[in-house]
Amino acid sequence: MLDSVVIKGEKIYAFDLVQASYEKKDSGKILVNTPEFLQNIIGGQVQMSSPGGLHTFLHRGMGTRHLPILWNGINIQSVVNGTFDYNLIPISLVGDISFYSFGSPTLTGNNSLAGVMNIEEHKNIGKLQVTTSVSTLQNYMLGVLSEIKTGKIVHQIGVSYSLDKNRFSYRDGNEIKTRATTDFHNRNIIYRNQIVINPKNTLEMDFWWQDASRNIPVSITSAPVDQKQNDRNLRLHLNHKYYASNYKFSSSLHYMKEGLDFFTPSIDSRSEVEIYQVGIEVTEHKKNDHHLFLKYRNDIAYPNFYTGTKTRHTINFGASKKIIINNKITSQISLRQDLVDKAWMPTAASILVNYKKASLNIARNYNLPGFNDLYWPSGGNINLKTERIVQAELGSKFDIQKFHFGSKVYFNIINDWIQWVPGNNGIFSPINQKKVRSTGLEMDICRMIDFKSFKLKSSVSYGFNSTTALEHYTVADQVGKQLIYVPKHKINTVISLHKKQFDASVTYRFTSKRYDTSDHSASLPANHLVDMHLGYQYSALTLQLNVQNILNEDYAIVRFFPLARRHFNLTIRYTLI
Amino acid sequence: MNKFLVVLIGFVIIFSSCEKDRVQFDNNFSTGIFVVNQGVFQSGTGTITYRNEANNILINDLFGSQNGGKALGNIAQSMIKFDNKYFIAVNNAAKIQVVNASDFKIVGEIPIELPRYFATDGVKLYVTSYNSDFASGKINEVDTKNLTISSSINVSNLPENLLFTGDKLYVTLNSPYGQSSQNVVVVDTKTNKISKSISVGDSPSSIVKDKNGDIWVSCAGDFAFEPENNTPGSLHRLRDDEKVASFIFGKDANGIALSPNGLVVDKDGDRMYFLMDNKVFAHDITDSTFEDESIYDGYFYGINYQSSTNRIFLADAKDFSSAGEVLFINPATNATGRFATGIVPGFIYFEE
Repeated sequence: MLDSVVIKGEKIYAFDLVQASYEKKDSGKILVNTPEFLQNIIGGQVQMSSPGGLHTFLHRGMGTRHLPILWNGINIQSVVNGTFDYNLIPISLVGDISFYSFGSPTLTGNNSLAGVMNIEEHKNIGKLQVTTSVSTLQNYMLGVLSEIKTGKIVHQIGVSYSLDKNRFSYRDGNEIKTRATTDFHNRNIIYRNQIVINPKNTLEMDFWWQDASRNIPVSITSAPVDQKQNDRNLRLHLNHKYYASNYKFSSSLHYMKEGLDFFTPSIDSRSEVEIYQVGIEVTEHKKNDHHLFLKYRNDIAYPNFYTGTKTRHTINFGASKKIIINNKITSQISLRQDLVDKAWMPTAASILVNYKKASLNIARNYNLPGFNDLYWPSGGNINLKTERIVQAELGSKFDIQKFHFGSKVYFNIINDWIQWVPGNNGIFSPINQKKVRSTGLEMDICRMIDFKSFKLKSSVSYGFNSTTALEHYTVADQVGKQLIYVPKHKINTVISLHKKQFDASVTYRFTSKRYDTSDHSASLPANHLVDMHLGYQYSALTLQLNVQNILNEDYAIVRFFPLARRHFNLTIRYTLI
Repeated sequence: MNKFLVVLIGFVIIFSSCEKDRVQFDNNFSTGIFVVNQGVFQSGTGTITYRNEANNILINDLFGSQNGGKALGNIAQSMIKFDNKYFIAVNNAAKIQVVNASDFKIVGEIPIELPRYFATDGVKLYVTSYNSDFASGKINEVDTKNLTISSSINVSNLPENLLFTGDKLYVTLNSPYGQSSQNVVVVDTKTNKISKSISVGDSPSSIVKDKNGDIWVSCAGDFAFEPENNTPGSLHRLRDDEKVASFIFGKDANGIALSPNGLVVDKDGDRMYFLMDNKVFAHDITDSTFEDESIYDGYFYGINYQSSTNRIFLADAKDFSSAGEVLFINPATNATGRFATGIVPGFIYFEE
């Protein structure tokens, strides 16, 4: 029962028993953008051509379309192209961002093959929080978040504006050149409230309006082109919760309107998508919880490059049961069945077993093709099959003397992997191309030392990934080759020091070479990045200076899209309790 | 040093890779087989593969090797030799890269929006180009001494391949996406003005001349939003600037209109070859109907014919993201061979 008036974040049921692999607060810093958060996840890598361009995340060798982004329980990835641009998250206005390497795939959506990202609301921010940052890349950000309590209603309102020019120099042979400005304007307004109607009933509303525009940089081997993108997103979520003695009933309504326009001198591409979702959930709280849900989602897309409006009706229902055997062993079994446009989809199932500090996850799930895969003019393939996955993850945490260890091993088999390939006349079209196996190991070691006047923390994380085609339905000699852009090895090390109001850290990140041709005839070299962070807190004021790429490494994630050399970022946050 | 640190550094060194030093070649590149590789779309660079069969030399990325690793630019389209220089059209980099024919070292660049294909009569050099609206373009004369564009003729639709014959320059005008063009324009090279426009089929693309002086034009057909609405490809014969014969192609097994790509003529000028429906087709100039005369199976991205050896060269772009291959076949003997290329080979050029 609730009687306090606070904006209280409750974990989505799917995450009740699983622990996030990485959370925003783990960085110990004020984050300026979401890619800064993602780069700490050892099992994946940020995939981008250039700052200001599309930023996605490849996790455990799987693609952006395999990683849903949840906002209040709804996946906000584009149903048109299957991606989500992490640049667009106004990180100063959101509370936690949590990354789950496995999550609970039966509960987090049909495409959560590579984990799940959960954007959570801010909790207890105080009266006012103002964050501003400036970077030598000529990037500027201001975010203001305020919380007001009136009677039984709590209001949170936030506005943010950022302008990222992403101006930086890069080496081209013996010359040092400067990248063109991205002029990336990102404006956001968020509003949340929570009304405690009575001790048994609460009503919540979340609203997120976004308008962003930018120039998309081209490769340094291309002539400059006027290439612009506009994103306009409106997201609304209403939720009612009723608390009975052993039950919680939750009903929710989502409405989203997503606009994505892309212009060049020869392209005028405009896409509008409307999404409606209604859902009910019932949770029985007792020793062994039961959870049932039923949702209906309708996606309506009317891009100007399709021949007509395309729709998708999805009904999904599922059930989950927690089994607490004793205080050492807990388990959760879940099932989900989706009905998409009157066709039954593969049944998703998962089982989670926690034993002391070890956990085992096993799941089967599937991924639906996106609208572009199906309806792209001259290339869409309406005969595509869904991708299907069987996956497992074994994780453990333990301490030896003063060292904390964590490890995970995982295994994924994806059938009917979808890929765009050229067909007759060189026109690209998606096909179910191969059967892919992704296996790997992630380890981290952490040591904290408390001295009298300061704390020292050091950690090392290592990730190994092998993602290869087990079967290739069109090019047999690609069997066994690591997929393009997927590094086999990653290392992150952090040494941080905290003394009274001061904190400082040095981060070293290593990414091994990545092939960027499918026959392995070309690869991008390994890179070594060192960043430094200095922080100072005085009363309500927090100051932070970050120096990134201290070693001036010339590197790229995508060939011919150089990334920034050494640059500085100053962030100031004022918090009024 | 801390043992842990030693292990870590060792680990990093093991898994790091080093860029290999580039080898510069002393050969003379005035003759040989050149393959223009487009490179990966958007994030790649075009490359030139050089093949000298007499000396058994194969160099991938000839331009990079001879110019300190410099990237040629995004989407290399075609090339031609003129005045002891090679002119390379680099489409998405908006330039013509000019190199010395002997050592392939950079001479200069000519800025030009979206260049496509060249033609020369040995005196003048022309290049077609698209405008950035991808709906119109230009037929440009190149000032090969000062490396500039000396004059341009604006045209509607997309100027593609060119054929020089006497003082006339025939230029195919391809269809912009969602629109339709059926014309070949004739440019009077004395005045650089269009003297005539000849209607052929939808999306005129390739153009050759046979032994009788007749001009043949292959048309790709127009692409529609829905592939089943694509218009049929066709082949047309022009004589005295009039269309005298047409061959309209049908549909493939999936009901999609067939679309020919590339058109070359053999050394005797009486037999043509082109790509269509995952096959290499032959068509004799004496045939009054189109026979289903495929001589080789496979999807190829480019085709050319080497008169001196009577061989058809076929560019295999494979999956468009890995190294390609050129296959050659002697249609008289069926002898075949192949050599590796860069990524997305699209244009094959012989200099003998």
